[in-house]
Amino acid sequence: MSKGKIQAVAQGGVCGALVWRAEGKWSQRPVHISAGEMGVCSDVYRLRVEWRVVGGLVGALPVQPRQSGQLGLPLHLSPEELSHLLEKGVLELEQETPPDDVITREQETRAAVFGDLWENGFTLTSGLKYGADYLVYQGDPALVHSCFLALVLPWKQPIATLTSLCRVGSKVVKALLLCSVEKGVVQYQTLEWDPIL
Amino acid sequence: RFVHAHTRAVGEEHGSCSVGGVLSVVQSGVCSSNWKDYCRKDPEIVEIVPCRQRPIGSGTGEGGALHVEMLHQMQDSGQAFQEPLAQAALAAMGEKKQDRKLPKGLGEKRLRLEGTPEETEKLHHYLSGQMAAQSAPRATSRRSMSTVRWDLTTQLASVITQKGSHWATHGHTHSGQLVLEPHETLFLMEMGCLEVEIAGGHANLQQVYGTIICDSLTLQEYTVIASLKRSGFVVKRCLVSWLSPNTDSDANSSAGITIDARLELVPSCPLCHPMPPPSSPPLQSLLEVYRPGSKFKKSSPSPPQFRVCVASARDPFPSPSLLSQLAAIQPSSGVTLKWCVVDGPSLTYSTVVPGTIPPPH
Repeated sequence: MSKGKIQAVAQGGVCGALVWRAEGKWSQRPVHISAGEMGVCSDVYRLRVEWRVVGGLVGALPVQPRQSGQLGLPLHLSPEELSHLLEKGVLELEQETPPDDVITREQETRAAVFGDLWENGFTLTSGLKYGADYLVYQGDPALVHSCFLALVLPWKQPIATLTSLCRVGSKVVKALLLCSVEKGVVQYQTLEWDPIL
Repeated sequence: RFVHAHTRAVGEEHGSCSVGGVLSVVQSGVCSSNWKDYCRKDPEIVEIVPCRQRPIGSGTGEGGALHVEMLHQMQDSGQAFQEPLAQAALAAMGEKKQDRKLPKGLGEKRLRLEGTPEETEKLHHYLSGQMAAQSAPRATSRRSMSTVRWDLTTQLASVITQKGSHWATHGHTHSGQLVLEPHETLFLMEMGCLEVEIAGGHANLQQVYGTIICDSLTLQEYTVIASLKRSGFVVKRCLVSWLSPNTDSDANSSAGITIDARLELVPSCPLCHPMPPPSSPPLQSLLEVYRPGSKFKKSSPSPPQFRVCVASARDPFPSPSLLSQLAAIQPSSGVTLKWCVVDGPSLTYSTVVPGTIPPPH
């Protein structure tokens, strides 16, 4: 196990990977963390604060297991978050069952869009609740609302649900960010719904 | 900024501690009914966190005395934020289940970041609290812990000892042996009710997850099952199979409901029904969900309140034909079908109402 790398588990039945550890050290001290007992911090929060990867907790919270408002470990990483962190050398996989996934064109496009938006300083989470691919934040999702709904689309294919998506975006004060990959470059277009012209 | 004050044993004088201006303790005569009033009289106490029933490290404390840990406002800044860890740790150690509190949220979100150091500190404070809650030990008394042995070939857990009231709605019997299905085993372990033995050794939660979550019970399906069960619903997992073995895929994609494309539910336990031949279409799983507290009899279960079909956000959408076939599974009267889409930790449910045009609201 490499020093400083976070361990993740890729296993059958999981689309992406799971992070379990709640013990680890900050590789660089963030702005102002309390001294003393709080010097040792979790891998899960290192991913969030140092690497802007939020993931999602899917287990029961030890303090109160019979509620779903706040969940506990393990942290689930989506395939894009996983491949991004592997590329950056932050994460290494504890091989339980090596998944032999065929990387589809769609997965490649999603990974490219995720990586490009991340390089531009944004934080991304699932856009499922708004019918989009990603919610794009300019800071930590706990502090600010998302500014865009990102949709990953094939460059040359007609967009089936354009009007309804624009309306959803406008209702929740978010612009629609259309993302496609054309000749290896990520292309962006923003749509904002015009209520009255 | 807060630091929690340690209280002294009952019987000692009320006094003030010299550490950073922190106020101290509870004197004798303060009992559970009046300690709040006592603390409110002190203008410097801003928050009260009830803790144990017995004083820490006291040899002379009287039985039944209340030990109160109070949060006190610091007069000078520079001291680290200890409150979230303290509260979360206290909450985890709380003897009574109702004392166990969740870590605090951040409140209202803004549209844009302020970019101030206070904001970053607020975030770290929040994340520290979250982390303390994640790191709290899963403590359960031995008296309420059941034990099971996981069988890697049958993919079922044989029950060795049974404790607690959840056995009325979990497990079923095979040749006199009570067994738990994979999702039941994992759920009860997450709730802290179960000890699982795998291959002769006691397994921890990560090992049990690694064994149980696999291609036949995906993480997506389990997150839906666990979410429903945490809310108190009774969940039975079933597999969907075609009634007519000669049904081919053309009948499935036709526009209307055809008689030979009826679906039926079979138990998901592999010992309860024979697995279909590999040439037949793959079995989809469906959840039958019963209202919390309903009279659920394992031997003659009543129709569920609703059924849930779990799908991944990354899979193709269902056709209207498939939705209507799933909704028509017998018994269907009074049983609604819910379609649940999962993307990592996010779940969204939609209720499917088949048939004619519904009456407008």
